Amino acid sequence: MRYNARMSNSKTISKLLNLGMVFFFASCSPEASWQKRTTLAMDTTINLRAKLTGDQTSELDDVLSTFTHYHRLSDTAYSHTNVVDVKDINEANGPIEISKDLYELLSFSLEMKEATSGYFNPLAGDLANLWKGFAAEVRLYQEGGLEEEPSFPSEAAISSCLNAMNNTTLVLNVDDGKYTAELTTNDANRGKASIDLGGIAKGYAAEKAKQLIHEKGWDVYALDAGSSTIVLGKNETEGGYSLSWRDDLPGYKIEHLQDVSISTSSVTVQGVKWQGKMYSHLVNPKTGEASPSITGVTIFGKKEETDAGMMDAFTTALMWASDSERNAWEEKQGFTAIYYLDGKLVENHGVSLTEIS
Amino acid sequence: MKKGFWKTHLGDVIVISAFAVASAGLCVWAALPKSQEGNTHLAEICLDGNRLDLTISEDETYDPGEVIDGGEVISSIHLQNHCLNLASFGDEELSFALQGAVSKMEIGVKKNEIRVIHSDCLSHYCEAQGWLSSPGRPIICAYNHISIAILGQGETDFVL
Repeated sequence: MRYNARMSNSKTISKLLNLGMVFFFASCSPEASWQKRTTLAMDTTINLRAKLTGDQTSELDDVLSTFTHYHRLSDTAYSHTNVVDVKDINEANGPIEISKDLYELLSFSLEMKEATSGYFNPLAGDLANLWKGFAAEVRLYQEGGLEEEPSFPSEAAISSCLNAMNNTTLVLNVDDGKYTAELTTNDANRGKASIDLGGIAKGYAAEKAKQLIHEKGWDVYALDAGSSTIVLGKNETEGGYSLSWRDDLPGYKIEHLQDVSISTSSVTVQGVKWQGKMYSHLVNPKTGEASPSITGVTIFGKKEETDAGMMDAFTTALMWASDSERNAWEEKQGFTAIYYLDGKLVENHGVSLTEIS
Repeated sequence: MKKGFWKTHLGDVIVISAFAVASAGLCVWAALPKSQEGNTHLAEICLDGNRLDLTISEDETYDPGEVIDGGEVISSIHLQNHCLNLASFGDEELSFALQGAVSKMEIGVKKNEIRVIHSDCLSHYCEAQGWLSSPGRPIICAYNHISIAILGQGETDFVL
């Protein structure tokens, strides 16, 4: 009897001990926490935060290095050590060898030119620079730093940019594992246009970063590439992410965003108001004009089904497209869009907006 | 028998109790809200994505860069966690110089707001962004590798 009682007590204690161990080790299992890293690339800050276990900040840096990599490749202003970039192609007199990554980025930009019916054009850099110069003059004048009233770019200057752009071809070749790029022109008298991937590089890099994130198996994350391109994973614990507009559409927000890619184009920050219209770096490569009928557009696409690079190119194109083109692209490419003008909503094509009280 | 039980299993009971207390402690710790920089009056200034360590050095100048208000060093009451405590400023704008990656910038600050007054960059987009008063979209000067953000959670997670 005593023996049995002791056995019974031993079993109970053993069970309690096991239970205690389970609780203890369950409590000790590493808890996932938000980890955040930031880098400066492509003229903006790129923020990445993800809910991960253990210190994985080096993994976050690994993802963010995608932006640094494509920043170097797409640079039009500076050369980088051991990197052949867009500047090198623009300045070369003949084909030059480029990396596979730059080859693929340039190929993608040509695909997007076709897909957007030419509203996005990788050779529109000179035209954009022409209007950027005008915008800078207006800004200086408005601040009192320029006495003479700024004048619009001349018809001749715009025409020259358009002619050069339309007569220049970006020739890409791959031969025996060697990738080359060359700008050729069929009108040597007018000069060549230059490549500018400013309207696509950030979105393209964001897509590559997204793919890397998925390879790492992360689910809960938010990638904010300077607010013009955002890729969101899950955020189940907090009911999704929310988003609003500071100047473009104050008074509205979107909630419960998850597994979505977002892209926006706007003239508000980089543009200037002159004679009642906004002018900025966003140009229409078909007409040469720089004052769109809307001040901005934001598009939303399912993360798994829409390419962030494609969305970047299309936001640029949507600034200039007709209503029918916009509708056709939204349906074909699978994104929803909102269009705004001077802080007011112009059109909402299927986006669930909430008014901020 | 009771006496015998304690004699035999006192050690076991202590171990189990220790496990239980440790488990409960860990559970409570996990459930507690973690401290975050939720103060929406703190402005963070970053160079190349890394927060500038705005502290007063031994010679009473700020490092890196000079943080100057009309020739006088801004008082340490305006600093908190190496950030500018915007709530500590008055309604009148003060300015200070900040050393960027390429050149000095002029930063304006007043109660709960901050802006770039001047940068040598070509585009001047940083100046055009105007006053920043809430978390969300930071002011960027790509030329000087500087970003200025107000910490904390705004009304939404992202601001375009």
